[in-house]
Amino acid sequence: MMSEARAEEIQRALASNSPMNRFRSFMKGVWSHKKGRAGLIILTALGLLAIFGYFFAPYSPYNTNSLAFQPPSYQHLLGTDYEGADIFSWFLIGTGTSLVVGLSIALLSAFIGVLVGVVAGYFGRQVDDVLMRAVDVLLVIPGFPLLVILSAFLPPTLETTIFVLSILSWPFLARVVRSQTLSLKERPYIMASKLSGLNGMQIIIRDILPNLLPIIFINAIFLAVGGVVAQAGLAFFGLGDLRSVNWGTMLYFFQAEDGIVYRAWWWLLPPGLGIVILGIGANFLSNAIYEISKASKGNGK
Amino acid sequence: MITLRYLIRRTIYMAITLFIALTLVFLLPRAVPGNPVMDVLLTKYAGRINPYQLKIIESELHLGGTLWQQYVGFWGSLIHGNFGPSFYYYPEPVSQLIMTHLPWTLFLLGTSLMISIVLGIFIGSYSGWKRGASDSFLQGFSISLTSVPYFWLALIFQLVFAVLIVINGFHIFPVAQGYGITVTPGTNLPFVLSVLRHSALPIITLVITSFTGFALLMRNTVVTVLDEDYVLLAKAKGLSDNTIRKQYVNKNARLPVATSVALAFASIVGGAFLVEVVFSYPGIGYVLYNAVTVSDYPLIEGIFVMITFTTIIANFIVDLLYAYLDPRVVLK
Amino acid sequence: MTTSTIMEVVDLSVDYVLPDRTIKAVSHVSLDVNKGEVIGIVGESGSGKSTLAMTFLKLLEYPGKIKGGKVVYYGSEGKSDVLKMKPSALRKYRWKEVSMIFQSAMNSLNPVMRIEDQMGDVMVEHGYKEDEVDERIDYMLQLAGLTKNVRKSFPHELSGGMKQRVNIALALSCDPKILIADEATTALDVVVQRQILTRLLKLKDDLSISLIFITHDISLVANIADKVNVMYAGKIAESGPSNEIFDSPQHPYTKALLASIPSLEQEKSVKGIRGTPPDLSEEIKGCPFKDRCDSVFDRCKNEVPELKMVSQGHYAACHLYGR
Repeated sequence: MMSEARAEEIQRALASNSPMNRFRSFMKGVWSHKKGRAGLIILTALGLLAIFGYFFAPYSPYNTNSLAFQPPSYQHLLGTDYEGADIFSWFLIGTGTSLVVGLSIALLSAFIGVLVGVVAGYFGRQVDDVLMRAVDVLLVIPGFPLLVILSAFLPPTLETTIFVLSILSWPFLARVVRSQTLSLKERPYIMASKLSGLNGMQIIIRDILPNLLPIIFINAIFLAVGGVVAQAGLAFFGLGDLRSVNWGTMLYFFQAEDGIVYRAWWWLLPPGLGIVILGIGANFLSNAIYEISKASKGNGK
Repeated sequence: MITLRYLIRRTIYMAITLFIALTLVFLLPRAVPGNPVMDVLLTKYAGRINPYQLKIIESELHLGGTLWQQYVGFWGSLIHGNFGPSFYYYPEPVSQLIMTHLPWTLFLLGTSLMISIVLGIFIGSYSGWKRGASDSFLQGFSISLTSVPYFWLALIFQLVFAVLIVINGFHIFPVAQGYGITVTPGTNLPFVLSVLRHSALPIITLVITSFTGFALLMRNTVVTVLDEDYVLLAKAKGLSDNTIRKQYVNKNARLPVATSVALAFASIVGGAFLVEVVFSYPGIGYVLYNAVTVSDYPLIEGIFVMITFTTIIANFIVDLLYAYLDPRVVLK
Repeated sequence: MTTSTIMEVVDLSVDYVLPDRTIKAVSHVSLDVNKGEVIGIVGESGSGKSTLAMTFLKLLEYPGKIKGGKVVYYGSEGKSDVLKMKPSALRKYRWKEVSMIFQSAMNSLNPVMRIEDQMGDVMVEHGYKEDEVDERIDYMLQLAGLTKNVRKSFPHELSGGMKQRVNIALALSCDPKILIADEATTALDVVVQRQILTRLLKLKDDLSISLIFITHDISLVANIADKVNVMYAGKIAESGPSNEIFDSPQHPYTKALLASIPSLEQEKSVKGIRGTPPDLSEEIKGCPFKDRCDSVFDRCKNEVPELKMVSQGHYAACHLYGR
């Protein structure tokens, strides 16, 4: 449970103007929350691995001088793959690529989702109708086959993957943001802003978006994790840039080069566990943020 | 209750969705610079398809003439259920290929979804009713499973149950394929048993990754429903726990689960495709995977249309089911 | 107790035990219910009257906890303490002996079951035969002033008044000896309220059952109850025959309640009761009504008043009476 004092502190911080202050005390709140701390530690560790992994990789991922399908040893901490490349190095470097892809997808699709959601919710009427119809259609068309057909026709690059996944990931967030905006719109202080002559965009940026931040943040976390998983799935299906070193291509080559036949568990486990740990970290963090923002809201009344 | 007005509206809505999906299929290859379809035909399939056949394919896929002529021709073919010939399996038509492999996928999807829903409702209801240990187990289980990729779990199961574990020289489950090489497809017992044994691991994978969603939802609604006055009244009536649970709690708590099936369906399709690839299971997903590998564009397009159509129909059925389960719902 | 006593509540106390505090919802309440009698229990919300009703059926759930006392039921097989019944005995007792119309009758019908199924399951549970059940459903609906075709309906297809009648039919379906009506008419408009009340009283006479009528509206029980118990802060403030309570109320709280009834006949000023009931999660020193009482004096601040007899069968918990 959230202590009232902490909720109050966060509430006060949210009310203060400086974004830096807000961020700092928000982080403080998350840190003093048990799950939040666990989530932060997991995600930070993965983040550090993504940034610095490249420098610690003992081999080049393209160095194929060792024997193929060797189990873990001192020379190769996680063994070697079908070409004799070092799997530990693949994993370290792949973490970076996978996370960058996930983050890019989260940023891009959160941007589209928030934009569509806020505009539909704030301006309502025909704008809302048209945008929400589009959202409905996108939610009904099965995502994966659509991803496959888009990726099949577009050039096989990481950029394509990011673009295609972002295009398909935003509708859910748009719906959430829209319904939140609808309820915020009726609050007295936003009415007051309207009367004071601010235009729609100013009100959205000044009064609506800051209130949506926790929910956008939580959704962005899941968009990022979803992006990592989806990219891995696409790569596994042979789509996207198969020369790129990432968790998805590791699994693709495991499947395509019969890793199963060689019982190469050391090749199969690292990328999958990477994804699972990322997912657990994200879950913890978002749970914490949800509880904290709920507690501070409840206290603000 | 279902009104005629609803049926008409719903049909129009489904038609619009399908129209958008199909127009996308039409535009996509034509919008990409240097038509990839012709490109592939001329390079990849240069030796296998002769110039005469090439002309036929070009006309069957409506690749010539103005964009408008192409579009009209495209619809003309579709109305006859004709997606053109497959490149790789030329001259076999795409529709033929889909029809051969669709039953496998429908079996896989249908069985997994059914088991997941039943299991989810059962476990969720128990956990919401009892709370305590089963409750925290469910929470922990679902948190650690939420982001496990279907295909990775499938690979793990394949490695463990079809490769690593050997009992008396036999594996528990086969590594791959839809049925064994010793049986002849048809309505005979050995074939059916072989199919079941081969589908076991794919189904287990899909069930494990998808039932927790239903279970958590069911648990949360059970907890809410337990506080309802009609449950209190049911207790006051002296009904047995069993009756209260079945008739009063579950009948109400399963309603949100029914709504969630539509969304779950869209996501489990992707999972099933990837799992099919892992097990070389002869369904649509595996065919699509092969089609992607050999750039068999008509086949990719045909499968996409087929799956979109299936999903839209599935959504419609879920809506009807919901109206049946909840007498308060009026579909209009 | 007398030979015609059917239920006897003895020194009953109920707490709500929350993680951070304990609320004493009912403290040391005793009362008798006789055969064929109408008992009124009156009090503001939070006075413990609904909690009390729940204990009659042993329906109290977490965080509610029985702290002490007995609810003795005199059935055909001798007397037994409801609070000590085993689950199987309790299930036989519920609805067959004592049934209830709940405060929120609007929400106490299962939205996804037909009315006939909700009435049928309880009868089957209590041993009625299939063909008998079918007839009884029609009969009960008729008793409650509804037509037969209601049985095929779902709750959402009925109006508020009709749902309330269904609840009455349901409550009578197993021929109970006692019927508890907890704010059974509060949510209805005045006309329907009157119809339902009349119906209830007639049924009570026809079927010779005891009726426990729980309400916040003291004017409602004035005409119908044989005996009235006024509850305040989890305790009985005053109890006695209904005509005595209304003609010569003794406890200042009862007086205040009566003064707050708007009247059509006289030009009297309606007086609300000032202040709010005490916080039951805190220890109350002296009389719980002392902060709102006009006749408060020194003794009220330190000493808890006991229920004392003011005349035959009429009791009040106030330091103004008895020595």
